[in-house]
Amino acid sequence: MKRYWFSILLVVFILGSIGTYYVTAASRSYPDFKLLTVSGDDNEAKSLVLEGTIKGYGSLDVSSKGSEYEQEESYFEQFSISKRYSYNQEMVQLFKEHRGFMRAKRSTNSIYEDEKTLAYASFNSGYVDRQSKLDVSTLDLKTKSEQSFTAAVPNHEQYNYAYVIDVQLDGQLLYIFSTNYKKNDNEERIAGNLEIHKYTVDLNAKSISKDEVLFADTKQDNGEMVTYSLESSMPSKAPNDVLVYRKQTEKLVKDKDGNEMTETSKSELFTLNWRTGQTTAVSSFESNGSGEWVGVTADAIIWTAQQGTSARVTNYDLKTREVKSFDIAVPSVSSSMVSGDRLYVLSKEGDSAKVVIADLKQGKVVYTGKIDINEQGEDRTKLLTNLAIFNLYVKK
Amino acid sequence: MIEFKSVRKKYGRKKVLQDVSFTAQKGNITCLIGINGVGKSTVLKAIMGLTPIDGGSILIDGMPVGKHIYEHVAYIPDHISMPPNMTVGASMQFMKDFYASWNEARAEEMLTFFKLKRSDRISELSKGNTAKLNLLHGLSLDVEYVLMDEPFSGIDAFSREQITEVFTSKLVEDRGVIITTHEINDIEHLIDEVVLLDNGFVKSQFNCEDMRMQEGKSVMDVMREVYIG
Amino acid sequence: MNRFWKLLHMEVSRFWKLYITLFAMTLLMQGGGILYVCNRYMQTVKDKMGPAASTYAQYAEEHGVVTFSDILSEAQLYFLAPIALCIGGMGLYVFLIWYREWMGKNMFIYRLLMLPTERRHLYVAKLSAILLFVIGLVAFQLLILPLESALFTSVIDQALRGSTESVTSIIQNHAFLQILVPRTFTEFVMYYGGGALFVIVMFTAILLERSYRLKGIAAGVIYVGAAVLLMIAPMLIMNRDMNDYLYPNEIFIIELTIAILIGMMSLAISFFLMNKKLSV
Repeated sequence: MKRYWFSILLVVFILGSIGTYYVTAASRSYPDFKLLTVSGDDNEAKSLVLEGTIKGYGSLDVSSKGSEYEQEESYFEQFSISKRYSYNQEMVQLFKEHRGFMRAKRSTNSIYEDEKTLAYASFNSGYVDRQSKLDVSTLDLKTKSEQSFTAAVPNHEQYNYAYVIDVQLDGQLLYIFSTNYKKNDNEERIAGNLEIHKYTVDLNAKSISKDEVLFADTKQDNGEMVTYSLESSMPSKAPNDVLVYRKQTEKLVKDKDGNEMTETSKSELFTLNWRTGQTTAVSSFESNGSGEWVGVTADAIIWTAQQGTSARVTNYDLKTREVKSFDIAVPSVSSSMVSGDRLYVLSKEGDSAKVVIADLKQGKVVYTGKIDINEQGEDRTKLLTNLAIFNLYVKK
Repeated sequence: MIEFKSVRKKYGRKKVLQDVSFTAQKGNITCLIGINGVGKSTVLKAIMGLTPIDGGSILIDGMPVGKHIYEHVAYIPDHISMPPNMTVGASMQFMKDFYASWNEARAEEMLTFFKLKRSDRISELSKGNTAKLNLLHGLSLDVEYVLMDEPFSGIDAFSREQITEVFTSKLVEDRGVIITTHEINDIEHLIDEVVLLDNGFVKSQFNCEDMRMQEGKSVMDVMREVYIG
Repeated sequence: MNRFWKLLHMEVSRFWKLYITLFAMTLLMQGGGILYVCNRYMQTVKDKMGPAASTYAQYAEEHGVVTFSDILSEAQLYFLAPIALCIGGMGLYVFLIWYREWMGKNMFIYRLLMLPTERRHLYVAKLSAILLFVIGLVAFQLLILPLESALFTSVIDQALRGSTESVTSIIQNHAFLQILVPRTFTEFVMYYGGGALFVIVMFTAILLERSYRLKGIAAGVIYVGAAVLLMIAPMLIMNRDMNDYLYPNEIFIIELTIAILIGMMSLAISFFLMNKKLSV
């Protein structure tokens, strides 16, 4: 055995060194942040997940149950589609329920779902080449029969690139709302070349029967540019007669170094009933100010505006055009989202992150909570300061 | 008994062995004779499974070539096959480690007889000493057959004498030996059986004793007949 | 001890001098580099502070603190060069471990092929030796990293140092080290399993060459190419119209299956060549 000392030593050394490293790494303890209820019903925040990072430990999810670190995840979890799309629970649900149909379908905006049909439409590769087509698939939720076809896109040679913003269905007609980037030879600004299209797809004929340009960027005589953008709604798969779009007036200005940049001089919000084509201005929306855009749901537009130590939440009903407002006591809104009839607001208050949940129907706060950690003194302050939360979602 | 039956072997387009058949008996010294490049070494390598054959069969005591033969057959190539930076002692240790048939006492005996030093590196040995160590590696195995490839080529007269002495000793007795050579003179008195190889064929196989007794021909005479006449 | 272990030990003992040299070179270059960068940093601090009697604490207040990771990225060249040399050396040794046996006039391959043991033991011993050497180098890096960190601590004044980092966080925050030493042990097995697969495929190519010489080179190149093509086939198929057709876990399972199949096929071919076709 004596002759073999070097080989034996090498093996022992490897086992010792690598073993020690992984045992230490596995037994490493991570700070356990928790979302604690300050007031209101605990159940409101039960499914809320806050995504963030902390220096030295990487990304983590904080909830009322504690913290989960990415570094603690097993190797195989990275291959789980529901883990990858955790920020988009709408997609996770679809991947789970319609695994076969959802293959190669990864864009939230391209999905439509009602009681009878699940539909998906997307441009297969933008307009970069001449083969570019519109891929359409539908799934009958009752009979489970799947239909899919590829439709030629009219005038596709005029565009560089396009992507789908929303999909709606009416009988055998599928409507695709998209943003198209026009080709331009003289390298003009991209923003001046946008068009919002409404494609009508005849599911029986398996082709695009109509292509309408709803809005197109225009250059005004005074040099200002008017641009349009369609707001995607949440959940984006929901049937919705009314779409929301934004009209912005921009002009080119030069900063002090002489670089050209665009400055938005006006931002207006409109609703569009795509069935009737009727557009209505959302007059109560004020773009400038310290407000924060929240989003469009199936039946309302929601935004917030900071007013001193509290934020004013405005709820614009898309059907009744009724405007409801209420205040929540947060010094600033760093992130927000809507799920169902609940508004979730994240705010940084001193060292710790604060969460407020409001009932949009009743227009009042139902829950207040904050992130805390079971540490004392300097450690606690340091950990809370180092924690940065950047997103929140509700786990279904 | 080592049986070679219709063995064929080619390197690229060159047919080295076209149809070679012969047998070597235990207790006999069989000598493969032929000019350089007729495939004598190839025959030995084929027996040891060191080169694949293209046809025919090789049987050792009725068994095909495989890992089990290495405890029964020893091959002493025309060069030593140990890393040059190994010492004599380490090379013996290596043999002892891997071969159950290694006879340590005999190895010691030969080490003394050949006056080799354990601490010498193989790369520093003289040609004669290298050949002796090579012989030691092969002959210290308790095997039934020993194959030797040109044991006398390029060795000084004194070493040659020592090696010849080994042949007549008990070290070789009772074993089956196959030896290759291109010059018969030195060893004619040692060998029992001769296989004459030429152009990939066996020209003749005969027993030296019988040949001398019955036809009064020496090995050289037969060679002359076969190769020239 | 059975003959496989003896063969493995033989491979280790034939490499150990070079191996220790790699260890020493890594230690000297990395240690020297870190020492040099630390000293240079201290000099910069002293130069910036000037003759005025301000303290290190004040300097740190103004210019910030420095961590071991900062020094590592500053000493990048000294740190990565020996690793690159080790990788290159091991890559070369994958070939040398075989061709060595045929080199010189004392061809050792005669003896190795005549050992009274399965020839695949020889193959597996060579494969294990390569893996052992590679993982040994990683283990050595893990061993000297805390030592290098201690070097940093001893040169840089405490007032100038940022919070202490654990070895885990030093590695996981380093772009290259986190590949050498992945986060979980499962990944470690996956990564080095992939490395073993690469070695197995290269061994197959080498044995093809050793068995069929010139024709074998062509066969070897084609074999390696086919293995690579097979590994990336799922990606190639998917990147056409069917973008993202497969779910990530499906891709993983398919890739793992392909890898295992390639590995098994390569081993089968290698063992066959060793038993039937290999020539001295």
